[in-house]
Amino acid sequence: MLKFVSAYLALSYLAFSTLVAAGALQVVAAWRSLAGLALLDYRRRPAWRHAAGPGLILLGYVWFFGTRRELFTPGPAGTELTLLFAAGVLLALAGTLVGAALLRPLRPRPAPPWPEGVQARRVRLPQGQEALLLQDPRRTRPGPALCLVADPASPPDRLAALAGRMAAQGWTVLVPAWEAELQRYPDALALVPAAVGFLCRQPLVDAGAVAVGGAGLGADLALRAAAEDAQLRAAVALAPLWEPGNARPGLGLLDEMTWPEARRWLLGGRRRALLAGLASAEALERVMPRPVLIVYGEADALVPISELRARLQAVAPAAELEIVPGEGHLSLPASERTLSRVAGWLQAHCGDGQEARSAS
Amino acid sequence: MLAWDWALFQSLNSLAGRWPAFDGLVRLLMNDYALTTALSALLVVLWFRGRTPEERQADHSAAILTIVALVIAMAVLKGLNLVFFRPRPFTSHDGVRLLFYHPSDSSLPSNAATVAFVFAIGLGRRSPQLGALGIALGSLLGLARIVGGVHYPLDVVTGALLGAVCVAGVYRCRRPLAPLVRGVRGLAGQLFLA
Repeated sequence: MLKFVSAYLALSYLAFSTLVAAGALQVVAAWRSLAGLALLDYRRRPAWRHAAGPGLILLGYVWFFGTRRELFTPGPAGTELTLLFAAGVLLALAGTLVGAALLRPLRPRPAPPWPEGVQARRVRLPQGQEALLLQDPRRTRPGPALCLVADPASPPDRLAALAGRMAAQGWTVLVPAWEAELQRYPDALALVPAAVGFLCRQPLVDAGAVAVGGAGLGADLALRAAAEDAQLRAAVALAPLWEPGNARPGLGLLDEMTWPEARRWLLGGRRRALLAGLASAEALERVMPRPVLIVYGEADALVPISELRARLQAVAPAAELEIVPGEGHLSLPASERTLSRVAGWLQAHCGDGQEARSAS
Repeated sequence: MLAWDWALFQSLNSLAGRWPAFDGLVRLLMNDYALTTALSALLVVLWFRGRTPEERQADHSAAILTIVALVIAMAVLKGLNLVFFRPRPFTSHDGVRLLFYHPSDSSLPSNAATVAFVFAIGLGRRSPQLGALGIALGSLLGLARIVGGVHYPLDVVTGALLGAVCVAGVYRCRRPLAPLVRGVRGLAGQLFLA
């Protein structure tokens, strides 16, 4: 049934349609900031945004129409062209997903931003988990502390900027690692108490001024931990996911991460089970009336922010909600605006001298 | 009607063969590859352009229904070609300036215009901008095929109408197609593509 008339022309058309589809994918990746489809970093190189996709499409047209002399002779039929185009789209999609996954790690990342004077060292908690402890060694008397929980699928340095900023302000910061055996419910509930216990035993920590924070699934765990432990003075949640529905596999994940990262992010289905168990939205009610700051990026593709304000108003009207313009789910913790807001808020609610201000 | 069709064909076809650069442009626009590929690429853009889950669901449904309409249009074209045949202008009349090879199938309806307008109208059901671009590309394709001597204007208009009717028909019967749309989206979702 399928004859294609000329195999050479059919293969040429397959290559042409692959190039055109790859160009269309780059146009849309640049336009919609789809990290999983972007072959180049269009946020950092805006000039490429208008050039990469149209360039690939133009290349396809110039090559195909400039070199194929058989175009004006009978070629594949309409059905055959449709099949060839569909195959070209699949090839372009596979190539783009693989290309984006391979190229993204090669992009330069800023070096760990430990501010001057801050000391960072790996420690082991009594239960055996690894953690990163940041302190300003010039500090001489006990001060506030922060237990900061990263998302289990994010690179360890994603919360480095916030941890460094707080340590530079005189806080003792502990970032525990989510080890694989803790990435399930209820085992995950042990992570924050172990870290907080360790922090409270540090000589430079005021056990009455310990706050908890986190990003992504780490934020859900932080809220749940704050609900369970009334000793925690304040909670900061950066882009919590709230419910299993926000950890569904789908195109939204490619807005933020590459295809292999998206697979890892789902934790093999454990993320949904963890979110169901942590029930952070219910936990938030129990954290009240202690201060809670919830921060989202305006471009968060994983959590529907439009309905968030009303839902938070119903559950915890006293919780403060901050929306940071231009940031996505994963880029939020490193954004300068997030850092300033969170650092200022923590200092105001749990920092040095805050007790004195409360008493007066 | 046919006299009007022939007169309009003559006036458009008389533009061919005068200026080599113009002929080259018409050949580029009228072939089976250039504009149909561009229209298909717009469907790829439609699939990936949504920002919210609701936008994506509507875009994906529109793209899937457009592909269903395309399959139906191709089947209708095959059926029509079996029962009806209109000779091409260059076989019925002398003096036609042909810029293309000799297609042997029925002139009416225009296959290329049918396919182009399935894409254009399908895109337009969801995005007026993509639809307008699709209609512009489809109209250019139809016009170039008249200037190039392979279709009468009526063939192109009939093809465009057939494409539009197929899309409208699919949208009218979209309720029974809902499981198909859900199935395709579900499968694509597992691959992080919907």
